[in-house]
Amino acid sequence: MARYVCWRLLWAVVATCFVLTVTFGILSASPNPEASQAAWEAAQSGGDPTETREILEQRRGETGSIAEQYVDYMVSMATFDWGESFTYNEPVTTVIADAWVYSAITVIPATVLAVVLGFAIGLYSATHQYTKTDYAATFVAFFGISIPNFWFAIVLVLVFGELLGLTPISYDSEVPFWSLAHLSYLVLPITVLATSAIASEMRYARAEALEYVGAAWIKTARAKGISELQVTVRHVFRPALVPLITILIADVVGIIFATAYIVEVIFGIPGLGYVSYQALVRMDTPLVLATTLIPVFLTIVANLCQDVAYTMLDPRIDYEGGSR
Amino acid sequence: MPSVGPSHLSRRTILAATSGGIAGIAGCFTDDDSSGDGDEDGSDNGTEPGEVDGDRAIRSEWIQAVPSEASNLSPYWVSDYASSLRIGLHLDGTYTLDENGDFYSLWVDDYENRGDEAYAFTLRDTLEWGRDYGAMTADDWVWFYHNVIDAEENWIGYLGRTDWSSVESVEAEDRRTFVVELEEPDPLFVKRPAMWGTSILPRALTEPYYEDWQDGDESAGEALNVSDEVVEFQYAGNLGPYGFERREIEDRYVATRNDDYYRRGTEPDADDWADAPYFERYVIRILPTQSTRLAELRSGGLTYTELPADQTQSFADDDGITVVSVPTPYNRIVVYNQRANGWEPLRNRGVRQALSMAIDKTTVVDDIFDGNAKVAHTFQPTYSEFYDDSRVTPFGEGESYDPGQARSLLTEELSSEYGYDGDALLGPDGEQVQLDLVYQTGETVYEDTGRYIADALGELGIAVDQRATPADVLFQRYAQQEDDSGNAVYNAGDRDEYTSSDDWDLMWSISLNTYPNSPGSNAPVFTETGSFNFFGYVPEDDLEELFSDAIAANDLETQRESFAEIFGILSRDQPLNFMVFDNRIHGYRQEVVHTESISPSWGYKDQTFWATEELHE
Repeated sequence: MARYVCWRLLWAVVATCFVLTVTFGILSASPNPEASQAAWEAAQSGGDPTETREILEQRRGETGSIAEQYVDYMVSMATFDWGESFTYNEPVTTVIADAWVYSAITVIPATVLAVVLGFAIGLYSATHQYTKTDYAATFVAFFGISIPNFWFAIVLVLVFGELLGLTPISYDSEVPFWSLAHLSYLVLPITVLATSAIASEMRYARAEALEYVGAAWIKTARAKGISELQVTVRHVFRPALVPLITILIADVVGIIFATAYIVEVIFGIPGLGYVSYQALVRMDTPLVLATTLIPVFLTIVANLCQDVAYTMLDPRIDYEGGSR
Repeated sequence: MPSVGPSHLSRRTILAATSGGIAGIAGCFTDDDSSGDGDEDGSDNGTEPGEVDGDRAIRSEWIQAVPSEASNLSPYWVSDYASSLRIGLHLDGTYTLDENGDFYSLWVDDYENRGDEAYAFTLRDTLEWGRDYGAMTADDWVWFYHNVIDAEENWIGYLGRTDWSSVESVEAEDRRTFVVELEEPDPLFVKRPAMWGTSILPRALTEPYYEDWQDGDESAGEALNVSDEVVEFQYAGNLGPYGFERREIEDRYVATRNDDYYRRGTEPDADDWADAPYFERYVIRILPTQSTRLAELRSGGLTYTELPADQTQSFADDDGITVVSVPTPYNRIVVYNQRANGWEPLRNRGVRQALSMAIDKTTVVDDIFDGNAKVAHTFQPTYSEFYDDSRVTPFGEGESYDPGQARSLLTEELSSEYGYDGDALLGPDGEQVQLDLVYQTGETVYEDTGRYIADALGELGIAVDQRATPADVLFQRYAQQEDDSGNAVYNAGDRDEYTSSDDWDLMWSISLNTYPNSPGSNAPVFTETGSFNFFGYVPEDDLEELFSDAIAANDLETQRESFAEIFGILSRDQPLNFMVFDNRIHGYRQEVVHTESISPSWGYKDQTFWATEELHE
């Protein structure tokens, strides 16, 4: 197992370098919006767009060749000296440290809700297949999966925030962190995040659980007089959990860096998803690379943890080549 | 993502644009005036100063929302509106222009025109830098000129150096007065963005970095601009209405009322400035989504935000909101590509006229911009003193909008290889003529107008393929050309040889400053070798000489005559369809009391705006 883990960690480093290289390449090949705008204005007023562009590039430290810049960035990433964000004039680590909290307060509750409710409803649906509640749950699931998050968020803002006045419209970071008022600011963002995630978890949980609902050992368990709850949890959910774990990591990372971005933009939450997107838009290379490095590394390591977790959840799995 | 329009431009560009015309040209939509037509005399706009009685108490906070974070907070590095907005809370700048386009005192108490070749500017005697930098004196300005503007290298990365290209020297006359000498006489110098609105850093703060740079430290300029002292405005003293409190990235910027503000209770308009500013805190919130900003304004979460043109009416109908629609000198145009990668007949003036004649600008203004724009026939707003209606040839409004005549003109002007087959205009290859229309993403009005243009040209039998891209992509792929040195420029030379990387025929949605104060600044756009003639216009008249003569004219009357001739030629030539002049639309909570008349200079005195009651809980 130790050898396997070492190999996977080594692979994590290689994969991270590859992703950073691709990201750097894309950034280098893309136009810089700020420089484009400034050069455009300079040309219109009779100035020299090339000089303007050079001034802005100089400000951003883009003075050497692309190869030199690449080496500089990769070395700074490897040595954890991630430099300063061009946009915010703050160390990249400070920007990330400030932003992750705002993402965490929406993503963690949404993930917990998604896992608990999604798995619970999925199991219930599986054990009550083709009942009205199963159809209702299926409807909710398809609604959650189908509805575009950005649209759903805007509609919630307009209905519950503006029309009914029940919730705040946008996030306010000045509200005391540990307060009920703060919770009211998080209700809509968490609802949007959780809706699609619950739906996804639920459908997977239902499909997996259905494989075991009619299994022989379930009938045996029932024949022994075990309660339905125990049958569901111990004899259906446990074997179904192994494949469900596989989707969990992808879902959580997806929530943080895809859905969370949309939610953060619409509700004005200064979280990691939004900051990383802005870094991309503004071509803030140090911040882009850092915010790329973190999810990539986390995903790879989380996948490793997931693989290790398999062995605990299902003792038949052994990465050293043996089997029981 | 940048957009091309007033709200996304830099301080320098905004200053150059929001100038001078006559007072009160704008329309203001209130509950009483929702027609959207605006009032030519500005007398019925509902926001005339002095109409509201009430207590100018200091309210707790002003909250406004903007879509984006500032790029930087150094006055030397500012290149975008978001940054200018924040800097303006701490530094007033030299002076501004009022609703009549006249000098309005801020740091500079007064100025003296010494024969158009030299201008003496006298600073107020109450200006104090922060920390231990003492008073702002003429010496700060002289040092700024010699070591920032006129330095051999742009060590500090100041983008405004070209604004000072006409200045020969800056010397101190006494402690508070410095004299700016020009290379050529310029009666309009005060209205140019060299001195106007310029902010500087104290000499005592900047000089040590300059010495470091002289000693070989190439990063000294950057070190200065990103230092805590600069980005936290520790040097700003009493020079602006607010002091820096904190900046939370991608969330908010908070400033607190400056108790020592130099402008408080001073002339001109001492009454308005009696206790200015009238808010304890000024909060700029970053809300990227337009729908969120608008919902917050409606629900009372914001004091102010800008409104999109196509949603103005619903806000005008809201009792809690005052809408102020202000004209700008930004001309939103349809460019005809006359370079080799555009439709070749666009080089023919008659063809361009025919296309312009087939697009109804009134429809665009009324039905797409919801009345928040004005029809344009040349590259100068009608309120400009250099605009002469008798010289202008209109296309696309009233009788000059005539698709039938446009079709006849097109038939007449196109070569015999072209011809109509029913309603379709066929090209030399026997296929229907198809033009590529490109425009930027970001606003509904761009897309709606793009569709309208396609429909209008469809009436002429021309198929239009529409493509929308972000603004920076639009610049890079469709406007820029590569010159012989490999640099990306906007006019690399001969239109037969140099073209953009992607083909296009029509470009809609970009908006250009028409410089109504100094129309000579438009030469780069409309002369064959001009640095901004990206569309390959080759005028039949010698516009280069005409511009040159107009700029060099000694008296204003000759300048007016010369520029009127130029703008007449442009309206006739239609190097581009001038389409519309944008309005900029402001939405305020109804409690906000304005202290100025509506004009293109709107906001020049916005730190004297106050509120009749608390705006936010």
